[in-house]
Amino acid sequence: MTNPPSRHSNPINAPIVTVANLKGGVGKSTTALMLSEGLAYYFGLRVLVLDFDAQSNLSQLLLSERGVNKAFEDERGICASLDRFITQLKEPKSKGSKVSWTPDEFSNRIVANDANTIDEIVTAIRNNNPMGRVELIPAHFQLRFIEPQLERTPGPEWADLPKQLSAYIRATIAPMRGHYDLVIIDCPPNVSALCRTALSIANYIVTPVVAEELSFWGFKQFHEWMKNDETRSWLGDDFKDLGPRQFVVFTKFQKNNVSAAAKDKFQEQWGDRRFASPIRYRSDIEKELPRKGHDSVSTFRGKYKPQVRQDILSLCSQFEQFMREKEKTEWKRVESRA
Amino acid sequence: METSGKPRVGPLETLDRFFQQVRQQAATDPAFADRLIRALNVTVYYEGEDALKASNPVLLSGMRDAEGFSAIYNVPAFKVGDLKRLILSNDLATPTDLKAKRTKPQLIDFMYQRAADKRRELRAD
Repeated sequence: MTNPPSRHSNPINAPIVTVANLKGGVGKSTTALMLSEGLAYYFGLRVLVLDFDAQSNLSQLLLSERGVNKAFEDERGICASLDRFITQLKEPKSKGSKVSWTPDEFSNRIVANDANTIDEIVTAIRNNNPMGRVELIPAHFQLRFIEPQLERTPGPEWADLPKQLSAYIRATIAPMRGHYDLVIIDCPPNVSALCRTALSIANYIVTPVVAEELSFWGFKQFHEWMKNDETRSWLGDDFKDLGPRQFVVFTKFQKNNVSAAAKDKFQEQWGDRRFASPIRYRSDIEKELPRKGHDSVSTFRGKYKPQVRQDILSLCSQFEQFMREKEKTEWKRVESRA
Repeated sequence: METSGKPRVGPLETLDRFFQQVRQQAATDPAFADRLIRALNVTVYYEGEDALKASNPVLLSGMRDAEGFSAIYNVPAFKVGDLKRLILSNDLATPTDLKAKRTKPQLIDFMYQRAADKRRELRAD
């Protein structure tokens, strides 16, 4: 599938945003989903999503389990890409080995182009009205077994692996990076090679947190890990000062005094971060988010209930403002999408 | 043995009263009846519109082949609108998915496919 060029500014070098927190269960995949679908719907962005988490929750939400398995069987996704990387590590000078994928290989081999089925957007594209969309390099459960293999592969040291893998991932997406306005990576909640890689190629970090004490502790640990010397050795220069590059989102936010007080306390403590307005808790959100079938088509307005739509719009508007200040992006709101 | 000033009630009558309440509740609440039946782990033949509305297509897709599944739902009392509502309430489709499906056989076949997929997602055989 050939993609038309992006209609937005900065088409050569789409910013890379990693959704990360070393604590599990804070809503990383949900935040990545809402951010990517919301930016595609409300701002018409073309978003490339990379799922680096072996749990594959984001891929499953976007493709369904059957879709994830089909993508894996078709050698689409991060597993196929890592297989090639491991082969190159083992046989660096093997005949015919090359670092990157061609644009055709990229589209046909590793991206699941049908990740986004918001039919208002699909209709707009059919009517030749350029609109945003979400494309996905999916994960698969098998990533759990490929990642340790990656760490054990002779060659790079622990600190060097993210550098080499970053170079490989950059080269992988380079041919198509100009066709997207934004790249979003969903990160696993551990310090695996893929997590380190996602952080090392990120320009910005989106960190979901829950307004409770344990989550604050996790946030502090993440901050301390990001600023220690060993991490700095493979982390990009952008993160010498993490604060201005971190966008924090309160998720599963409960409407009570305890949560409100915890949120205020957190914001006072980490005043140099940018905070989005919270995504409110909904008991049935887990039922609403997953794709209903591998060939299911949904509308944005049908998928998300009004309260959730309001939260996604606030999240995306604040993120757009954050990116406009940092990157001088000119993402325009699609006026007809209230 | 009498333990209070209330009228004496024997064990069988006590059980009768208890089951009478359960029976009455099951008669008025098909979902409750469905839960009780599933707890008994027996093969159940659904009859009537209310029972069909309360049925769980995901569960039934594991107990019947496509033909048997179709026989359960393809009854005159269960209309196209009822089928669509059942599919939506079980999160098997979006309203957009159902737009092009207008006949009962189409909807039943579609529901079976989605229910079977969902069942495979929920557990490994």
